[in-house]
Amino acid sequence: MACITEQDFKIAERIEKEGKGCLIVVNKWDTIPNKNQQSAVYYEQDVREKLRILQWAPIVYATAISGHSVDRVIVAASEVEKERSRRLSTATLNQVVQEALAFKSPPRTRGGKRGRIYYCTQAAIRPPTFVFFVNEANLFPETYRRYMEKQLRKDAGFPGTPIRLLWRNRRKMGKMDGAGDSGLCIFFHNIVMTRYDVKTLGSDLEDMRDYFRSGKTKDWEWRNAQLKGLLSFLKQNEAQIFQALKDDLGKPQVEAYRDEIGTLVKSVRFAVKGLKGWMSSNGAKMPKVALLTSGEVVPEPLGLVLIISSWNFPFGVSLEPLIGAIAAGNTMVLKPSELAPACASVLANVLPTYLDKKAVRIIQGGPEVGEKLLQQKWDKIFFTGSVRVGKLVMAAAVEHLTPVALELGGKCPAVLDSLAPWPMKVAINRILVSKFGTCGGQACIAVDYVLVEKRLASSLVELMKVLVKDMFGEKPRESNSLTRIISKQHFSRLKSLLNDPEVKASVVHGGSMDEEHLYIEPTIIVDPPLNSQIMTEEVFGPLLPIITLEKIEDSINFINARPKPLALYAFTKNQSFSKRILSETSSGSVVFNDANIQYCADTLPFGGVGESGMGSYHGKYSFDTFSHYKAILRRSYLTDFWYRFPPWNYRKLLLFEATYHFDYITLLLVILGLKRSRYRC
Amino acid sequence: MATTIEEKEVTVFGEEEAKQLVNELRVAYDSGRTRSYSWRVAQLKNILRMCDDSEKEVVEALHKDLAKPELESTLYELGMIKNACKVALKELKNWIRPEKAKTSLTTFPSSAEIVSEPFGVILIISAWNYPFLLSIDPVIGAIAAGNAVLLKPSELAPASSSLLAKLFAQYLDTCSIKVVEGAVSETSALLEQKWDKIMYTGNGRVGRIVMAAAAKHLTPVIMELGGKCPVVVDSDINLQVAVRRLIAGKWGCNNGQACISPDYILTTKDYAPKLVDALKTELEKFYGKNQLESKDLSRIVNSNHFARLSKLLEDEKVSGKIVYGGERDKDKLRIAPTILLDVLRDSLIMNEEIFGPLLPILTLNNIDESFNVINSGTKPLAAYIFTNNKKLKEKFVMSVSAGGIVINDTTIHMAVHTVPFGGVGESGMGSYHGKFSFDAFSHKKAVVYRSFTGDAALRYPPYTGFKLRMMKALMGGSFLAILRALFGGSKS
Repeated sequence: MACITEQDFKIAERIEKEGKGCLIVVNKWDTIPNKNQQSAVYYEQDVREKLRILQWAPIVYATAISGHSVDRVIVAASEVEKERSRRLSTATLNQVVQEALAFKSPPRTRGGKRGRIYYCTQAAIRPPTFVFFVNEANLFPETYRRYMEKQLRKDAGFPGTPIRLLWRNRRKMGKMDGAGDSGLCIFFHNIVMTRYDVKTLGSDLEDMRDYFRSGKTKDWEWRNAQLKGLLSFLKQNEAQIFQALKDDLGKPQVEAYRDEIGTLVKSVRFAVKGLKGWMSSNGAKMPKVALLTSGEVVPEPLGLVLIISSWNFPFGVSLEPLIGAIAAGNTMVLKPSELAPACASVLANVLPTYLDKKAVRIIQGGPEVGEKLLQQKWDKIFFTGSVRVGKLVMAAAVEHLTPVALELGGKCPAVLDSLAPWPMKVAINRILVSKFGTCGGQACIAVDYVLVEKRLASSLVELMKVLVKDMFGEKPRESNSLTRIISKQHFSRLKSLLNDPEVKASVVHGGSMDEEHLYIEPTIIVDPPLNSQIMTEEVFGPLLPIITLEKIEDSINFINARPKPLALYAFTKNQSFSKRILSETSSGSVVFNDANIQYCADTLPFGGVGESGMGSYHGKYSFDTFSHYKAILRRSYLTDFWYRFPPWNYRKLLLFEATYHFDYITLLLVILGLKRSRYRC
Repeated sequence: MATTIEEKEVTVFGEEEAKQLVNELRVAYDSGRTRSYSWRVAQLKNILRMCDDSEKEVVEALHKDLAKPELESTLYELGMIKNACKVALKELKNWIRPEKAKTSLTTFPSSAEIVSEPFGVILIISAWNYPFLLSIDPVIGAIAAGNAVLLKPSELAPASSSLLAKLFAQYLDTCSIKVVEGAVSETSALLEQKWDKIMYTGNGRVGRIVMAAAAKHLTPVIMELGGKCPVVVDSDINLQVAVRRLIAGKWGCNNGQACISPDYILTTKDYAPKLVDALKTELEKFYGKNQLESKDLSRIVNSNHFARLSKLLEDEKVSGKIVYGGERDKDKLRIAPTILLDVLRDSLIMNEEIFGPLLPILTLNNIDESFNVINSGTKPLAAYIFTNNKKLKEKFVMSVSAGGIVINDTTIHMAVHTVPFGGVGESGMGSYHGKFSFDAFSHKKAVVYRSFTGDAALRYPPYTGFKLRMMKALMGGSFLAILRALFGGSKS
């Protein structure tokens, strides 16, 4: 019997190594003489023995020449493919592992140490990859690892596909990442959707509340340690974060660093530095009549808070509020957006290893999980996202009278006054980087549209075309500096904005798109109709409408006729116009002669007003958002005005009045009986 | 009460009228008049004048609505309003001034400031227990911040409500400051409209309705609600002083009908009899023998509340626990100061805000148990403790979550404008008084000024490895790293 050749063996090795699915077809089955029940068993034994490496591959016996059983090959192959992309829920998986452990525990070393499996999760599909988080990976010998694989297959199947078991030290994970362990890359480049069992939500939150009650999170040491943990997370997992952002959004590294990692590292450092000062109480001035009274205002954590973040800056808008919630000493649940699954997976699977899991929980999921979360009782809800969902969040908060902070968006205008050539170029660069160079315009503070005087429009467009080319080259599609659109749904939304015939007619640059790669070229549109969708809803993508006005001063009315935006950008050297913009318009923030930079200023509150949201954060404002400022008054028993207590008479009334007015002379006069009450006595 | 109903105009106030009113206010606000410093000062001065001129009328109205003693009316309502006005007038210039903010290397060169801008058109819904204070105090904040305001006073204090409407029309800029009188239907018509901020003082049930309406327009809200404000009484204190302060806070504040009034007392089993004795003695000193008739006590606001309070007293779990008072006069809507001893936590009176002259005392074996009792309930608007024990004080401050905390006194934090007044959790959200009122009605707008110089090419695509390194160095703030990146010393 020489049906399995050296060649076959080599191929098998390769299949296993590459993690491909495999189906063994035994062809020319018709040529076997005197077939019976036994012959198939006999052949299978032979194949299994010689291709031990492909133990898991199903075998199909076929006769190609007559077409016998050939259809079964197709069926079996599609089965294999299905198995290859099958996911096991973490709950089932851990049950299997627990059983396997109970049956045979890992061997002890001579020193008496024994391997311990904390938990296991399926990190990837194609091939199914399981990560075992253990105390020390080297305590698990090859034999035990094989045993575990066998058990896994026995209970969970996976015929036709190799499975990977990765053994990870839970503590040292970060370090290994930094070293660029390629094995780990498989894990992180694939999305781990840890399905959260909502049934346990109630009890999990109760545990977190108990933990909060224990007072642990109020300690400075705890807060400081968590912030430091966050810092290590950001530093040690930089590569994974870059990769996740690339996977979800195609975000270029410079952008990822500028808008997410870098900004976050700066924010954490700022919080670490400021924490002691923020936590200390502020003395309050007391009037002199309140002798021997002292007042202070003490910040206290709110309790259990919920943070719901969005997909455009999956790390930035998740962790920036998280910093505040930690600094303020709360326990918290973070729900990252399901539309950026790779980032959500890094947040849910890696971040917790750096933080106190009893106080910080990251729950992945879509709208249905969000809805379940909103039904719970929270002490604050911090939401970043759309106006529509913002309203839902606030409506849900009503039941428990939960305060909310809503970070929404809006159409952020850029007012472009006439400028000398060089400042004009700088201004346009800044507008373009805000629009096309910040998550492809998918940012709540990105410039939404430009307001400019009619006479400048044509030269502006020409200059813009040149500068866009400088940034993204002749073929922006091939540029690695452009973020793609997040999802098919958002892509078609943007497509429909552009497909409005009147809008399409106003396109002066770009306009091409590639649905398969979710790519939209930086597009400039001049004077689309004001009632077209592109001018009534937030664009949130790389389409830049330019609206021309007779006089740039008209921009104030233009802006005031629309909902209050999150940010307003004005490029002008005209002082009085600047003053008018500042005092006559309303927006979350105003930036003169630049765009987007307010996001990274720790000393400024970041937040909207009106339709663009409520509540603010960043720097100390994040701390304030998650704190309650408690007024404390301390009194001694020594001083008390006898006139504070009933029965009331007019003399007491007069004394009170003098006290309220801090009129010490009258007070003295009345006490001495030298002044009459103006009230009827 | 009957007379005031006749006085009221019989107009139908519905959706349309509300819409029109808001439109008028919006037009006034958009004209920019309310933003000017002079307008704000003029209105605040007018409020001050209004309080001085109409003291008698206010006292009368309050007497009609609540039989409030004159001293309480002049002091706790008008006096506080005048104070708030004076503070605002004195400080307004400082409050309005933009706050400079530091900027960092990342955005260099730039300057930044935080500008307080008015929200726009504000709705203030106030309560009946302090009809003037709880209406005008927030109005002062809203005006100081430069907003247009609509005030809806409570219909349960009709005399005060119509007086407010009259006085506002007489003294203030009627284009930008309006009063709408009315009950549920008027309030719901108002809530349908889009406001830029809503402030509500009252109870959690209506608070939820207000917030749900606000959610439709994404309007931020300030909620001043109530809650069961506990008083912990330790045994090492000057009992007479403590008891006097307790009485002043409980019965001396509108006969317990105040959101910051002490709701119940927590003390040890051993100390309770002493405390009750002292309370009895001082109460008699203050209000005489026949307390049901005392002119120094307010009456219950209406028969609904009277019935509610009666029900609390008639609960069979507490009926035997009355150790003082308990007299009621249904016709005159009066309830005498009443003390209940050894009340159990599951009785009716311990499960809702009392908001009346009943004071239950819960006895504990150990004063430390009080923390469990307080923390197992919802967060109150205020928490009080009488003790000389330093450790206990600190523990109280650190582990009791409440809107405000007063040690060795009650309710006085309300009168101090340098601390924020507001609740947390079930007792509300947002705070006011003094500068906090101004902040409550201002949007803090971040403003960054940049020049066209100092632009770093690394902000702009095409992105390169050099740009990334440079950016890391810049944001890290390390000059050495910047130099290294510039001269290509480090390769990552």
